[in-house]
Amino acid sequence: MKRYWKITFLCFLSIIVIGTFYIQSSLAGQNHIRVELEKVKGSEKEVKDLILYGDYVVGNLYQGLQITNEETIQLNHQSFLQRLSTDRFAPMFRELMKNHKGFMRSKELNSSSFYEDENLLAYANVKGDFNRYPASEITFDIDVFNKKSKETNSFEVNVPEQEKYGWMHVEDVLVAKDALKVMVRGFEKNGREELRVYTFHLNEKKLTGDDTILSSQTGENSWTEISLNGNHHSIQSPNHHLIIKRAYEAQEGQENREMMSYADESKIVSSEMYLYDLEKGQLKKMIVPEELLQSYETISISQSSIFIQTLAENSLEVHSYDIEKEAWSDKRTFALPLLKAGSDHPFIKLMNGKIYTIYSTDNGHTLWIGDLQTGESLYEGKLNVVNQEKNHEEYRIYFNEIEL
Amino acid sequence: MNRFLKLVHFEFQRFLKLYLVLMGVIILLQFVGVILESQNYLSRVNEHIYKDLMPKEQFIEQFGTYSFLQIAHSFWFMGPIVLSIAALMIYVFFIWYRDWLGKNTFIYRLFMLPTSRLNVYFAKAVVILLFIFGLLAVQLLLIPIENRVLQWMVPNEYFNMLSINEITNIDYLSILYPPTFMEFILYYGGGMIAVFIAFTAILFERSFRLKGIIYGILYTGLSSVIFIAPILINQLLLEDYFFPLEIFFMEVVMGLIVLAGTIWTAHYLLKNKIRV
Repeated sequence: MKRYWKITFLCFLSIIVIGTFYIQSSLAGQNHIRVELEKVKGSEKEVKDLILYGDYVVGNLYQGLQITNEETIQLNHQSFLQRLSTDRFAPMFRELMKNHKGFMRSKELNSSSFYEDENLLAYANVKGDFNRYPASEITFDIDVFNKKSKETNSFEVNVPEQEKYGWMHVEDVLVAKDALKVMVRGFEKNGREELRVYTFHLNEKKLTGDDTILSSQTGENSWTEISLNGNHHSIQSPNHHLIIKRAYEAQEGQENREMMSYADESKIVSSEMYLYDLEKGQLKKMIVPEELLQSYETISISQSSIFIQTLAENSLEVHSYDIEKEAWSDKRTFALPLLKAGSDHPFIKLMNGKIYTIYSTDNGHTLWIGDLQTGESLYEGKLNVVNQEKNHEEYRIYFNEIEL
Repeated sequence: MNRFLKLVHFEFQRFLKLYLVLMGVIILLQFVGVILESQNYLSRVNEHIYKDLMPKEQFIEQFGTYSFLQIAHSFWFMGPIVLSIAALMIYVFFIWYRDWLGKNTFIYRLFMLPTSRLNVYFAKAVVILLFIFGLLAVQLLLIPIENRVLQWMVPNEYFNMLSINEITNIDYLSILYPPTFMEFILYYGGGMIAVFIAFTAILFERSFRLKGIIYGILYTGLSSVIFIAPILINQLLLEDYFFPLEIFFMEVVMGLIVLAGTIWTAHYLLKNKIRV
C-alpha cells in the first residue's frame, strides 16, 4: 500500500479541502448581513408584511438583499434550484405562473403587456426582430384567456407601417367588451417617437383602429422626448397614463458617426404634462405649476389622482391632482426627521393610500410611512445593518423597492 | 476493480512529475504576485501621501483601498490558473497519444491486459478529474494564505479584508468555485462529459486515422447539438415555451444521454475498430 500514498494523499486533500469549503460556505452563507427595523414611532402593524429590496455594496461586490421584519435574505445565497424556479420572477408573474401555467408559456415578461380582471387574462406584445436584414415580419402577438370558459383566443396581426420603426414597446393593454386596446410606443428609424393605440376586435381577430396620440419631432439642434409614467411593478395599471413631453435645445450640434454630440449641455425649452385615458381614448393637457415640472422626485398615479412628490428641507411635499375634477388640491407636507440634505435620492412609493419612503440620514437609513389622506405619520423606523463580519466598515447600502 | 485502481495509479504516476512542477509554478508566481502588486500599491501610497502630501482620505477616495480583488485581477494570479487549465486541456489529448508515440507502442501492452479495454478509458478520465480537483484544492488552500500575507504587507487603514467566500465570488473565480455544491457538481460533471467526448473523438482518430479526424469532429458536433437541443428548440421553434426549471431537467437528462452515448461509442471503437 505504501506505493500508493501520493495518489491517496491527493484524493483526500481534494475531498477534504473542497468539502470543507462547501460546508463552510453553506454555513457562512446563512445570511450574515442582517437589516433590522428599529421602531422609532408608530405602529408595528404597518411593517408586518412589508418586503424591502436593496443592495449591499462593499467595494465593487454587490449583494442583493430581501428584507422583511423577521429576516434578511441574501439573494445570491439562494440555492441553485430556487434561483431557477419561479422565485426568480417578480411576484406579479409568480402568481400568474402558479394559477395559469399554460397561458404564461412563450410570454415576454413585461408587466405592461398583461391585463387581468375577474373574467379574463390578456396579453399583447410586439413580436419580431427589428434588426434583421432583410426585414422580418413584425406582428402583434395577442392571447386572451377566458377564466370562466377556460378558452384561449390567440391570434397574430401584422403591425401596420412596420418598416418605419426601429423598435416598439407595449406600454399598456386593456380589454373593454370585445375590444382589446394596446398602447404602443414606437421609435422610428429617423429618430422620431410616437405613442399609438391599436384597437383589435377579439371575436373577428382583426385590427380595427389605429390612432396616434402624441408624436415627437427632432430638429437641427432640438429634440423632444416623451416619457411615460407607468407602474412596472404590477400588471394592473390605472385607468390613466401620465405622459410628459419635453423639448430640448442645444447649441452647436456636431454629427459624429450618426450620433449627435453637443458642445454645451442641453436645455429644456418646454415641458408639458398630459393625461391619457386609454379606455375612452381621451388626451388632456394638464395645467401644472412650473416649479413642479422642474423639480419633482417621483410621480405616482392611482385610480383617481396623480401625486407628485418634491423634496424640501427636512420634508417631503406631496402635490395631488384630482383627475375627475381636473384640479390641484393643497399640497401636503410630511416632515422627514433627520433627512440628510444633498444625499442620494430617497426611495418613494405610494401604495394603498399610503406613502412609503426610505431615505438616508447622517446615521443610516430611515423607513417612514405616512397616510396620504390625513397627512399623519404612521410609522418611523431606523434600518440598522447588523453585520456579523467585523472587517466591513466600508459598506454602502441602497434600497430600491418596497412590496406589500 | 483492483486492476482498475492499478491502472489509475499507473496513469497518475506518469504525469505526477509535471503536475508537481505545475503546482510549484502556481505557488511561486502567485506569491511573487502578491508581494510585487502590493509593493506597487504601497509605492503609490508613498508617492502621494508622503511626497505630494495628499490627505489619506482623499487618497483612498481616489485610488480605493487594497484588497484581494486587485490580486485576483493581476497577471500573477490569473496567469498560473490559465496555464493550469491549458496544461490539463493539452493533457486530455496527450494522455492518449503518448501511448502510441515513442519506440514501443505502449498501447499494445495496455490493450493486452486481462481487463476490459474500457477500464483504460475510464482510468484516464478518472486521473484527469483527480488532477483537476487537486489543483482546485491547492488553489483553495493558497487563497487564505495569500490573503494573510497581503494583510501583513498592506497597512490596515488601506486594506479591506475579504472573506474566502467573497474572494471565490469574484467574477471568474465563481466559475472555478461555483457558489453552491450543486452547481459544483453540475459544472464539473458537464466538464467531465466534455472530457469523455474528447476521448471518444480521439479514439475515432486512432481507429480511422485521417478519416477519423472528420468522424471525431462530426461526433463532437453531434453530441453538442444533442446536448443543447432543448435550449435550441425552445428558443428557435417554441418561442420560450418552457420555464427555466423545466429546461434544466431536460438538460440533465440530455447530459446523461450524451454521456451514455459517448461511453457506448468508445466501447465499440475500443473493442472492434481501434488500431495499434
